[in-house]
Amino acid sequence: MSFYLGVLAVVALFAVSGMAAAVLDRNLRLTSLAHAAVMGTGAYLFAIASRYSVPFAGAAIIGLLGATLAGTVLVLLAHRVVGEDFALATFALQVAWFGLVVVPNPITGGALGLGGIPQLPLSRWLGVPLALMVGAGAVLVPMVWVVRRSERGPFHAASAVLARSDELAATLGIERGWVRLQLGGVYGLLLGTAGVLLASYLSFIDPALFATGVSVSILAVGAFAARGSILYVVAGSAVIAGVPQVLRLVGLSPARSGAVQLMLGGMAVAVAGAAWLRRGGR
Amino acid sequence: MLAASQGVIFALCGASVRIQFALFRGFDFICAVAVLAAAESVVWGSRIAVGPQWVRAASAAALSLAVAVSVVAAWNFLLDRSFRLRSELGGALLIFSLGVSMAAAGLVTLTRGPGLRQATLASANGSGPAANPTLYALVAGTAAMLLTFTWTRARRGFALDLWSQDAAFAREIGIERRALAVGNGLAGGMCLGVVGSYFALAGGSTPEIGLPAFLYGAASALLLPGDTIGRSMLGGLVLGPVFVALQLVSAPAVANSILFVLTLILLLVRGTSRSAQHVR
Repeated sequence: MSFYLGVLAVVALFAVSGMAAAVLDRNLRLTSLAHAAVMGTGAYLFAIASRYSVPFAGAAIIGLLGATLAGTVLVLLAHRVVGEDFALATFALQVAWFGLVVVPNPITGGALGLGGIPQLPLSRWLGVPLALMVGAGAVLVPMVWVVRRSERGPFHAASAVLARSDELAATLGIERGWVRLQLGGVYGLLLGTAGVLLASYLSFIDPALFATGVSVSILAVGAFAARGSILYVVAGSAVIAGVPQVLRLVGLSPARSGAVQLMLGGMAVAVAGAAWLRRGGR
Repeated sequence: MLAASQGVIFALCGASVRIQFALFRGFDFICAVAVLAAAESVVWGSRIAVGPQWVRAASAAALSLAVAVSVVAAWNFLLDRSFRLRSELGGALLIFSLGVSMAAAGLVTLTRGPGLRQATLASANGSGPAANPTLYALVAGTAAMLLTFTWTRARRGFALDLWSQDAAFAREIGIERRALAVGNGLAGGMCLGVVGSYFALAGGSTPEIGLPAFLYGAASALLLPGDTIGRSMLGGLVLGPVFVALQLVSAPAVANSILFVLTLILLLVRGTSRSAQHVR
């Protein structure tokens, strides 16, 4: 039973982070390859604050603020680079971030990571996986509502114009920086939430949890909701994150299960890219 | 010697990234797949080949070259035949090829397990000329570089240059991408084969080995102004020794991070958004 709850917890985590990717894609048509770096920023700040005896709520707020800031800065890069260059820039950022975290140092713990991270206070009563699912649900449900409402409103129209043409947005008087700032904040907050939840779920983090492959898996989950309902992130998360975990029941080692996740994520991203190529545009 | 060999390797990465960019107008992660395939081929080739060390080394290197060339040429052929690639589709190509490269890395991990696999020829101090990665990079890399440079000065190379500058004009005078895809794939694949073999001989192969090679190539291609293959190689020749110098004063991971931050800065300085380029 606890195994299945664990699988559902991982699915919930990927759904939250995939939603961040979908928000960015649906509103600004930006493809970031640094999801894991933003998520990791939140997780590491939360873990480091916890090590300095900051209470759980304070540490979580520090983690969320850090990730929000990182997400905002990342999205603001779109002021200078767009399209494939934005994707490439974020990819370089992801690899550079990973390199800096993995270097042996007392702050991030290098490749060995950081342990002793406090678990969600709710886990005392519900157990760790269920507490994580409640935490993820508490973020996911209101966010689905917010995204659906905003997509019928003027904000989405403004971001759609901005995604299409910077100068048209300027001509129409749309505050380009302000729109990007807001979306970057939401993007970072969602990934930061996923990072804090992941750190508190495992009580331990290391750089491998935030590698390039994880960014691609998050991108793949987000690709499920690139068109249609935002709720498709849950289906995407079940496929990309859930299936490899379930395969462990038939004897697949954790390392090979990770490889299956990478393969599925890669294939989903490739299918999304191929569809885009075939359409001749997004 | 080390700085020169790194310069050559970076130049080859830059040339292959630029060739793919010129053909399809987008950064193409097939470079990462080809490097991975070449590195894994060296590891497996060194294990199955028999005979003296130099014979096994030569067989493994030849196998890796053949594999990398086949991968890139087949990719270019299929991409050209399957999709109506337009000039603004660089983003789609990047995402598509990234997905393929990740799936390939996942497949390699699944089949042979995660982590490092070393060629049986590799040794820390280079136990013979054939197994010495620095010497290999200098000899095979310089040969590949010269061949690629000669290729760019030949008819097909000029046609690629023209195609990358103005596809519409190139079409008007009868140059089609179809005629360029496979031939230039062979040139790019050769460069990537040497890079993959070098990585495998220098430190071994991991499923993620192609990604840094791709970024080295992108950084080399972006370093100097001008969109030609020669400039990309020159960028690599400059960047390689800089990378070695960075490794001397910091940990390899930090040197990588500095290099990738440099790539990010180059992209930001160049600026592709319309507001960055002051398009009205």
